[in-house]
Formats: sequence, structure tokens, C-alpha cells
Amino acid sequence: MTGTARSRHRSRGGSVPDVTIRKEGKTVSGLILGVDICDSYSQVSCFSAEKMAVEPVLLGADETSCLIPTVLCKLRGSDRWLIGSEGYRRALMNEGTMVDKLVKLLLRDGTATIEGVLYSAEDLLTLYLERVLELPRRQYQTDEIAEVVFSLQQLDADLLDRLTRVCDRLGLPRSRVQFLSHTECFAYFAVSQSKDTFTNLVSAFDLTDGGLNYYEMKVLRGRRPMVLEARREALEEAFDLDLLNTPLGEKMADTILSACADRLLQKKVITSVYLTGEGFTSADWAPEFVRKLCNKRKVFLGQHLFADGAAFIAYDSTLPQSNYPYICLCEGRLASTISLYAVRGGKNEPLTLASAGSNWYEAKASALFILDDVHTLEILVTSFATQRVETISLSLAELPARPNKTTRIEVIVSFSSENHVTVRAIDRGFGELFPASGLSFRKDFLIS
Amino acid sequence: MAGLILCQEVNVRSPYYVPELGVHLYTGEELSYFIFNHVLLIPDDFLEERLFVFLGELGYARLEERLRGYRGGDIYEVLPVILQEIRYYSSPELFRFDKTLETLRAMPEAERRKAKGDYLFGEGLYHYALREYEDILAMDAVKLGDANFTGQVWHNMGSVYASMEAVREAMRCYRRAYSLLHDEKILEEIYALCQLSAGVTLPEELKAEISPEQEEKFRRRFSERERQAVFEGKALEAAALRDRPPEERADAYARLLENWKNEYRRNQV
Repeated sequence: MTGTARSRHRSRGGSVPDVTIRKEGKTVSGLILGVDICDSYSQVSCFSAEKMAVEPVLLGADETSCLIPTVLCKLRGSDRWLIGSEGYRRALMNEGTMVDKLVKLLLRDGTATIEGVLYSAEDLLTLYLERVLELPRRQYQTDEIAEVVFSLQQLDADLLDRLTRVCDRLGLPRSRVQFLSHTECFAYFAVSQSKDTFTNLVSAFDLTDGGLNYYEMKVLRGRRPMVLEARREALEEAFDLDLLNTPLGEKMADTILSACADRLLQKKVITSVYLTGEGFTSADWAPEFVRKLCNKRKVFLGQHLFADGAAFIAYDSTLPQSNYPYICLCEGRLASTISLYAVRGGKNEPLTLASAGSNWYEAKASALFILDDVHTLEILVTSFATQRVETISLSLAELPARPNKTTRIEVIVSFSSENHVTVRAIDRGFGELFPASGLSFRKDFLIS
Repeated sequence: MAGLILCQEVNVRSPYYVPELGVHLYTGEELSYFIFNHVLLIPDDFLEERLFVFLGELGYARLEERLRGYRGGDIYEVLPVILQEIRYYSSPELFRFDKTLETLRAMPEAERRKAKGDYLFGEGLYHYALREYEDILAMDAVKLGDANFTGQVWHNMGSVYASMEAVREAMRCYRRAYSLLHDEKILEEIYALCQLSAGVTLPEELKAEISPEQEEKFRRRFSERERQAVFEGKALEAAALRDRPPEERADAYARLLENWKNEYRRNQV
């Protein structure tokens, strides 16, 4: 399809994508979902194990019906809540009260008062997601969810904590839920397509009401395991989608995007370009931009890219061993390995607390150590890209004086983003022989 | 080797209790520490069911099975096996431990028990120490060795009683020790005991043995030790708390008092 733009529309799947999988030694079955939540629209994709493909969950017959407006509307004088276009419509008809921008509301832990009742952002997102998840449940006639990956533009620690609580309230077991960045979902979406589409660089333009984002990913094949490197760039050239309502505006938007293409794609060997977001329900308004893209490249146009990528990852997470031979380095993933030297089974060797490529939100780790003539904790930070090792020291000098080898410390590594690391060492004493003092030591540092 | 030793958090249902120390052991590392540092406290019947259950709960099933086979065997042969399996101590430390065991093994039983009694006394475990000394003195003369050794046992037993403020018992033991050793140091201890305890006087036969010069020397040293006493032991422990911030001081004193009470209770076994 070189040099052409094509829609990735897929027919609506009728068969139940119910699979039986083995996870954590147990057999679980149910839907494997990717859910892209944005402030303007949400999208849901479901992995069909039968077809070994991802299907979008559509509200109607056409491709754009996969876009579910992220709004919640409470019908006046009733306990009924509506989502999506129907919610919009009823609110416009003054039949209910609507709340939108639910992700932003959750990010700032906001509230909304509807008919005199105060609702927290968590309450509202729970109501919204409950109804969103109802769509695939109804479509595939099964309530069980085997795995769900939520795709978000940005991964903020507070946002993820709140989303985790929302998922708890939805009855989704934490072991079956993941939160990943759009960047990562894009990367996995790209490598889940046929091999000839990601021989070299793969890029994507995501045009929404929230802005214009450029994504780029490549597979570094020289490393073992191979590295899936992806990045996102929020483009300043973003414009309001209302601009596309007039021919003059369309022309202006085309010029803006063409300039972006010149700047971002020049001198790069790009195999494929994806155009997604509600701004690209069609690319007819951007002929010049498309002409620039379709230059010895495969160009694809369509929706639910991030939701599809999330669904691919969700499916992969259900497998005993990953199908993807990659370490992913991107937004939301650690670029360095955190380790320290410790004696295990009589051998002094590095002990990894968090690996490069791990999801920072899930990478919290702890281990217990006995101090053998040590008064400083030396944490090793090894950059995956450069293999350079940096040592971070944490002094334990204030620990109570005890005979050698009679102090046990718990080392806890946690992250508040992919760059911000916190290491804590807590005195656990040595049983009743030398009780714990409760002292703890902390070091915060940045990794790149 | 300096560094960190990775260990596991294990929740045992049946921790191993060491009555002499009044503590429970919860991990293999704690058991190793106990064996390595308190080898004299290890009883002859160490290889018993509760140790096997404890090791089993810690996940040392192979060691447990091996030790069951050793039941009734030489305890000093078994201890290195336990330490090696748990791997808390390094090879040089294990080598040093083997040397300690060799020394203990070479000792006659009475001497080994005296070493244990002395160790228990040093740890403040007075009743356990007395039990050891009494058992030694109950041994037949052949096992007991010469009068010098017996005198030392009596002397140490006297010191234990003195530490417990059982003055009459202490006096009885010191007099037996002096009758065997005729050591001036014991005379001085008897003199000090009398000074410390109202209503206890120097026995007539000993009074005759102390020259005026000796008495003067004893008196001078006793006064010096009395002056020093406020800078050591429990007085020092209490004095150290004066440096704490005022808001923490009351709690610190309460904790210290509680520790002293526990120590006292432990010695009432």
C-alpha cells in the first residue's frame, strides 16, 4: 500500500473473543481489552484469540463509531447515567447534567456537583468506565474480563493511583489491569503489524482536540534482547479542530501539518506513518501533507491505534511467555536498571531491584539484607542505552551500634515517574536479639 | 567479605526459644548467630523436635532431615553442619568457629561446665550460672580435678551470689574459696562484701589474717571503687539518659526501668 492512505477499518466482529488462558497458575477466561482513555474520546479494542486479531468495539456501523466521547450525563430526576454521544445529545436537549474532561478532573482530583450531590472524580470515572466496559461485555456476551490495558497519554503517579482505585471499585483485579502510555501502545501496535511495516522507523501523528502529538519508534536489532525505542513529542503547532470546518481553515491546517512533516520526517528512513485521532477521521482536507507522507512510505489512516496496541499488550500479558522479544524503552518505562551487590548463596553478585524496560508504576521492589561491615548502601544505576554505571550512595551511619551482621535492613525502591527514583532503607533489627529501631533512610534521585 | 547478604523474610509459626537469653529466634541467620556467639549456651539435648520443626518451617528441609539422623550424636559435630547450610557465616568465620569447638572439645567436662558457668555469669544469667557451678561441685573428686580448680568454682559462685545481693550465700562461697586458694584477692572481696552489707561482719578467723596494712589498702580501694561506681553499670545507663531531649526523657527512663525489671525477672527463674 506504499504511497497510499488507507483506512484501517475492520468489520465488526461477531464471535465471542473469549479465551481460556493460564495466568499465575490459574485458568482464567474472558475479554482481553485495550482501553484508550482521553479527555475528548475513549476507545475500546478487544483481542480475539480465535482470529488472533484485534477488533474495535463500535457503537455504530461506521469506523468513527469507535470514538466514545468521554462524557457522563445524569438524566434529570433519574438515577440513569449515560455516556458518549447519547449523553451529549440528552444534555444538549436539557434532559440531564453533563460532566466532561473526566481524565483532567481525575488528574486534579476534582469534584462535580450534580443535582445537589457532590461526586468525586473517582466516582464519575467509575460510573463512566463501568458503562464503557459494558459495551464489549454486551457485544461479546460475557462479563468476565481476563486482562485490560488502559492507554493514557501521560502517566502521572497520582492519576494512576486514582485510576487503580477506580479499577478496584469496578471489581477488576489489580493483577489483570495495566496502565500504559500512548507511546508504548503505539510501539506495540506497530510491531504487531506485518514485518515489512516496521523495517525502519515508524511514526504516527495523533490529532485530537487535546493537541497534536508526534510518535516515533524503532527496533534496535543489534541488541539482545532487541530494543523497542519509542518517543512522543507534543507539537506546538496544534490547532483547534474547529479550524477544519471551513475550506480556508482546512488549507491552513494542511500547511501547518506539511511544515511539521518537513521538519519531523526529513532525512529519516521511515517505513510507515500512521495518522490517528479524531482530526484524522479523514485526510481529504490535508492533500499536501498526505503527498509529503506518501513518499516511499506506507501510510495508514484510522482510529483506535492506541486501544489496539493496548489490546495486543493485554493479550501478550495473558501468555506464560511474551511473544515480543523486546525491551521497551519509552515513556512509562525505566531506561536504567537499579541494582546493588549482595551475597546470594555464598556469591557476591548484582541483584536487580528494577530492570530497564519495566513499567515504573509497577516496578516497586523491596528486599531484605543483612549488613556485613557496611555503613553505606551503594545503589547501581545502569543506563540501558549507554551501559554506563552510576553509583548512588545512601549513608546508614546513624543505625544503632550492633555487632557485625546483626542489622537487617529492608531496601525499598519506588518510582514516582520513569525518571524519579526513591530508595528507602528501613532498620528491621535482628529479631528479638537486636530489636528494630524503626529508623529509616531515604534518597531521591533522577535517572535518565 | 564486606557487603550485603540477601535474606528472606520467613514467617515461622514456631520460633525457636532460647530460655537462657529469654528470646525467640525467627530466622536461620538468628539461629546461626546464636550458635556462633553463644555456643556455651547450647544444651546437650539441642537436637530435639522443636529445632527440627523450626528448621523445617524455615525451609531447610534437607538440613532438618540430616539432623534427625544425628540425634543423640556429638553436638559439636552437628553445629558446623548447621552453620554451613545456612551460609550466614563466611569460610574464615566458620574456620574460627571450628577452632573454638576444638578447644571446647579438648576441655575436661568440669572445665567446660565452668567455662559455661562463667559465660552465663558474664551474660548476667545468674541462676543458670549457679546451676552449672553447683553441678560441677557435685561431681566426684576425680572429675573435679585439683583444689585450685574447685576453689575457683567456689569463688565464682560467690561472685554470682554477690551480684544477686545474696550476701550470706556469697560469704559462704568466698570463705570456701579462700580456704582452698588463700588468695588475697578473695580476702579483699570478702572485706568489700562486709562494707556493702549492713549487719554482715568479717568472720573472726579471717579478721586475724588481714594485716593493718592490708586493711588500709582494702579500705582505700573500696572507697575508690565506690567513687567509680557512679560512672559504670546501671548508674551509667541512667546517667546517659540525662542527655536526651526533655520530651523524650520520661519515656527513656520508663523503658530503662522496664529493661531492669525484665532482667530481674529473668534471674528469678
